[in-house]
Amino acid sequence: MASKGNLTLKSCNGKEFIVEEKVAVMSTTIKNMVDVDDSFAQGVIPIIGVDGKILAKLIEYCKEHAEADEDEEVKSEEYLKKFDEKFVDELNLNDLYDLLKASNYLEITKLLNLLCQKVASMIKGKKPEEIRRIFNIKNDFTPEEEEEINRQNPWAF
Amino acid sequence: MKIITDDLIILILIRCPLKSNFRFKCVCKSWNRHLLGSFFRDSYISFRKKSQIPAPLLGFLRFRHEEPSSIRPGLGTTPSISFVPTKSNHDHDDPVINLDFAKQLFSLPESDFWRLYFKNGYDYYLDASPGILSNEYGNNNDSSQPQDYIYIVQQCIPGTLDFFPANVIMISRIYTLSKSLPSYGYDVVIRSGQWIPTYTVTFGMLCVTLADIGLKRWAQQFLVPADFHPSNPLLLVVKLGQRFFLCDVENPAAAESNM
Repeated sequence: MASKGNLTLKSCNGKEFIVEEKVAVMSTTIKNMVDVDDSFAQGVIPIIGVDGKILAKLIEYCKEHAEADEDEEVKSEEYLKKFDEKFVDELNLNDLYDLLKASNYLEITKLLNLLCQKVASMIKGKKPEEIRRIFNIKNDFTPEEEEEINRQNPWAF
Repeated sequence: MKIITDDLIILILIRCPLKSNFRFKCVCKSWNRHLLGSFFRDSYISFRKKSQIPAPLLGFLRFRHEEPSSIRPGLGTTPSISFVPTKSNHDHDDPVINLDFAKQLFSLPESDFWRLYFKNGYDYYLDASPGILSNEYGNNNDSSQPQDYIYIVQQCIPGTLDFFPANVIMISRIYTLSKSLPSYGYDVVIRSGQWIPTYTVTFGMLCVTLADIGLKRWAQQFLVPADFHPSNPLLLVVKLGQRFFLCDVENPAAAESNM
């Protein structure tokens, strides 16, 4: 059991992490759980659908930001910006996707915004077929339909 | 990457340049649906506003008055409309207006009309008179109504990026006076030399085409307020059905003398 002020988070593959409450409540979902039901604050909080590797990443991010929120002098805005850049740059496509899903589910807004921005800058300027490859999307247009859309906005291609 | 959920797709696409998004319409049917939907448009606009990203300038609609109207001779001309995109070779970011671009605009033939055009949905295009800079205009404040955004253009002093406020004429309502065309009545609001942060348009009762009302001619019949500044451009904004039209009245000084 976690000591006072700490929470225990458990990933879907059974890995447990003891984190400070201020770090865990960067997630609105966890904050709501703890606020509503005291037993979560005492026991273990299961993080459904998030594995140990991704949960560790999430905690790494939340820890930096929670500390920065608490003491601006130790972690300046510039420091955080650099941290964020490095954080997203080191992710591979699969981790990026898993983190996106997890931060959406856990409502870690800052991280979600950061990741969406990363994906947006990754895909902008790309061709539709490249987008389909990245997101594993099947083209369900007939060639005629696709042609029609191209015809409407030729300047965008 | 694994298949991504719809809510995340919207969050990502609102962060992409509009030019990319126009192209992404043919990724698949579901993306096409998202990109044409009002939820996307609203999210896109509120994200841009919140992040203080300048209004994108995609290009212009070119209105050319060439042929006299065959339907109502003498009342107006039939405009031919073509979309002229801004010249940019990449779309990593939406183009914003710069001095080069302003110069490019100045070199356009003066006889061409340039207008703002708003399509229902987020597919709006920006356009302007030569030398005019874009500026966001107001919208309907009533949240129960669909939110319409239009962009108004401001004329800039040639060769510089300093711009001055325009005189705005807003036709808020157009209706027929009699069943025998072409008699129309109109309600009109004129604002001088300033930008109005928001303005609620009383929507037209009658949908007519632009050619029907002969906008330029009409503008010259309007009364102008005392602080009307003849050296400022005169802009005419009309909402017909779901569309906004904006035109730059060619010669405000002449318009004034006719009042």
